[in-house]
Amino acid sequence: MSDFFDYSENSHTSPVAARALFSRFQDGDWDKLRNFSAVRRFADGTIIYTAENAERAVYFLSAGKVELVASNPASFHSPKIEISPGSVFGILTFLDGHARSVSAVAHGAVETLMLEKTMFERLAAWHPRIAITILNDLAETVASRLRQHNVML
Amino acid sequence: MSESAAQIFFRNFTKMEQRVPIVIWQVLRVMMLCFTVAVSIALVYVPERALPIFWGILIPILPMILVIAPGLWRQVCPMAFANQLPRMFNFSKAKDLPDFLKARAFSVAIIFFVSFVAMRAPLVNHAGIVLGIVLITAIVLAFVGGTVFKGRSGWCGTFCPLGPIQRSYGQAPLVVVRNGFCHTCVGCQKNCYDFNPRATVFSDVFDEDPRYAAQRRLFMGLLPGLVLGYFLQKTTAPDNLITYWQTLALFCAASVGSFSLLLSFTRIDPYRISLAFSAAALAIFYWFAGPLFVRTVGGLFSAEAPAVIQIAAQATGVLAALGLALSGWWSERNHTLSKRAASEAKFNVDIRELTRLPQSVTGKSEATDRETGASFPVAEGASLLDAIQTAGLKINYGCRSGFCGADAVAIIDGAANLSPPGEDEIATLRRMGLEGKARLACVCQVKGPVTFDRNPKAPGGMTPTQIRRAQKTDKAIASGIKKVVIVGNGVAGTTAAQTLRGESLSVEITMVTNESMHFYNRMAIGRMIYDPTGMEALQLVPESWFAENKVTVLRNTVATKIDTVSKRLMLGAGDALSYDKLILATGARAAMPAPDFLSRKNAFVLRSVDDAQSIRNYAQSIAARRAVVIGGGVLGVEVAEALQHFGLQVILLQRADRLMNAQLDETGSRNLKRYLENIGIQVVTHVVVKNFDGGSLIRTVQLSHGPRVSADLFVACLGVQPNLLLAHNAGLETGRGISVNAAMQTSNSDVLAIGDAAEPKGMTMTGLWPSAAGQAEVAVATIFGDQGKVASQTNMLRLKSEGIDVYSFGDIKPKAGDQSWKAHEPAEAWWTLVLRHGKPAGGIFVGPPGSGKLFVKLLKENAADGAVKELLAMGLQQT
Repeated sequence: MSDFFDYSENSHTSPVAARALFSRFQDGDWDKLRNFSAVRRFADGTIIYTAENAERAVYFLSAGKVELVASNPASFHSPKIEISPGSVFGILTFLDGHARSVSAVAHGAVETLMLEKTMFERLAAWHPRIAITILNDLAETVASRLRQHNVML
Repeated sequence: MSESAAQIFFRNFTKMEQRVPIVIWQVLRVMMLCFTVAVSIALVYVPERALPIFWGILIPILPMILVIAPGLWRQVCPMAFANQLPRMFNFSKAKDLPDFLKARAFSVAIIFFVSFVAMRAPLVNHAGIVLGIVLITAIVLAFVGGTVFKGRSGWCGTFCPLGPIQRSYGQAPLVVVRNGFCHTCVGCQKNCYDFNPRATVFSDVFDEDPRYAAQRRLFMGLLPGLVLGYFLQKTTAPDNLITYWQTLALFCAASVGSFSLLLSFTRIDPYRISLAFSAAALAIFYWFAGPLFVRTVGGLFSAEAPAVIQIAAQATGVLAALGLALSGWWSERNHTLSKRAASEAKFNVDIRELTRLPQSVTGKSEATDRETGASFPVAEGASLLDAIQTAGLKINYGCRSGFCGADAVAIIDGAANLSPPGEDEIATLRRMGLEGKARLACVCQVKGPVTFDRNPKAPGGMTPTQIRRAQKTDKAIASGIKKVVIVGNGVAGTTAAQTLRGESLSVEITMVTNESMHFYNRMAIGRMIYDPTGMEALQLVPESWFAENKVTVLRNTVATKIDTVSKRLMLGAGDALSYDKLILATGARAAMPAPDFLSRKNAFVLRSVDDAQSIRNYAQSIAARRAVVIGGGVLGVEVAEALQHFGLQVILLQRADRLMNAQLDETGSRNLKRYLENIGIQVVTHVVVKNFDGGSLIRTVQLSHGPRVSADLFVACLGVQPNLLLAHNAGLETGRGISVNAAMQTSNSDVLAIGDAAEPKGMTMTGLWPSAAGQAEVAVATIFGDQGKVASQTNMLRLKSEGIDVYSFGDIKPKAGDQSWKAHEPAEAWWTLVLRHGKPAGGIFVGPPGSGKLFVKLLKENAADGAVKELLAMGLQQT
């Protein structure tokens, strides 16, 4: 069921109306996350990653726009999605290591904060609480999307 | 339109105002129901009057209403009113529609609608009684549906034959009229049109359930064909009913086929195809029904409609279709914006935090990786290697001092923005055949924009420049040295060969080694366990270098004996090499926990690339799950981490009371242990391996205090033992290593020893790369009669781990008169610093990855006062 058909009385409290990611971070946690992440910038049109790429990394978009293009251009559902600063993309491959289903292309000058799985594991070794928060929030994001799909079953 | 406005565009009915009082709607509903009943009765009793009005006026008006304000019709629809009566008067059983009906309701509605159209010409167009009965039956069915099922699931949103046509023509309403039947939503159906009429079509067309979406797309696909097939045939009773239906079916099939072809073979958005087909159906309908409407209205007034008005009526249909297309396009645009806004609101990260660069990255320099197109900031004072690693790009590395050459990169653009190469870097690049073509990332300070390629031989790099070297005197000729033989091709041996050739073009150089490979990056062999980067990446000297520099290398060759009298080196194959000077760079071998340790199939050491490959191959061949590493020194920790990275459960056994006990103090070692345990390595200290149980395979290791530890493979990392046999048999003086003086001469002045095998008098054997390279240079100087003298070096030991920074330097324990500084506890990073006569004499650092850079920089700069000041600022306290 799409967001437009949330029939609950108070839709703002529905399960899919999640809060911002990492809102439970404490002072200094962002600095620690940044120390284990990599700032990467891409010029307009640069392919950030291609579909089928299995690099275990999640990206947080800090500037510019990124277009996520379905691996199958004739894909029925939303073959192209443009995302804006603040968005997170590449979660599934970060979590499961399987090939990506979409390609990510920079629109305009793009800046991302990239967190690799290996770096995340190191972050977990040094700052387990932060790692748990990150994992929880990413899992909630995925779960939220799955719930939307499950409604259709 | 802003995104919030886009979301307002799709507000559901619960968030809309009820502008028209409900009582007015109720009056209109009653009137409409009465009107429909009256029409039905008229159709039965005066069909000749009622039929033209029904088909010529009422039916042509309806699609236009559905395009402009479908909610208006849904407010007053007599079937909807009948359906909602039980709910209004509280006698509806309000049951959930069974799942099997939910899944098929839309199909039923399509069948009703298509059947009705198919029966128009043969029957309904001219049989008023049948049409009247159909209308009354529809109202009764709607009422029954409302009596049994909850909300509007008994008819309006499910079985009503007008439902599909409303969802097609009314998919992008110009005016939204609020649903007036549902005070609160009871969630009776999926993607309810009354709940959110503008969003319904997107939810229909893009529904994740392919059957659900396909049914709705099927209807929109067949609609133009159905309308055209109906109007292009006679609207009176057909002569041949079967042919009539076959023709109608053919039109429908062609229409659906066209829809499917567009969907399958073009990249047009499915929504746009659906919209186009709906608009086309509308235009076709009014092309034929428009003139009919005009004629029928004219007939009421006994007037004949002028042709121009009939054409205008046709044009009205085209305009309506255009209006639907434009409205749909606007709707789609808002839908995209709205979905994006909704998605971002849920999963966004605080943009203020994201845009803050890491504290460590404050410089304005930027490096760009050509392969990925990724650019990244470079911290002030950071090397290009640091920046590449911080950016998460894979790159080989080794000594990080410009000696090994593992991290050579091609500079594509901005070479002038790098610090100029030093002598060591140039020498290394020369050895690698990359002089003037590449740079070593570890020693490049980035001062401005730089584009690089991690493949140092990548085309388009720096313009090769011929480094002009001053013509040197051939020292070999001057000193009478003609033949030098070097045993060993590690860093010491290869540096010796390189230096020899640099000093003399005439001297004959022969290297003897039992290795199968040329000089390679031994520091990277731990990574080979989990990241087989290939031998090429390990190779630090190209094959061609040896031929170009006339250095003969005898690989897979064992030197068996030195005849110091005749100055000959005997080889295993029976040959002998005569020499003027012999350099022993025989290196060291791994110490064994038991003499027969390596005779077991699952027992390994890690000393060479072959060892790393053996471990990897064996672990893969038996799908190993568990490994025991014996020895908690530097190599043991590195191997344990590599095996853990490879995916094995690792137990690290350490005889001493702490890990890296020779390099770290208690706190530093404790922090290292905590890190290893956090990544999943089980660390056991204070244990002695008593015995290995098993036959050709070790099953368990028995510890001296009783317990046994089982594993699939065992790796011994108990340090190294210098290879002394050759020197010993030659009668050379040996201690722990081959005893040498400060000029690297053994007890026989024609034989020199360098590297791991050599033990300079009064100095500690470090086993580190810079020491070996320095000794090689001194040995060559000695050979040519220069005053070479090895200096005592204080080298920085760095644990080769990407998850923790561990550095150990010099004397970690202060001596009398030293100043000692250490970090405050608890501290994320643990530091100690020993100052002797105001200068750093030793120290350790254990902290998160990347955090030790400042510590290393300060020590390398040896700026004692400044170092202490800066370290104090970072939390050090004096003890």
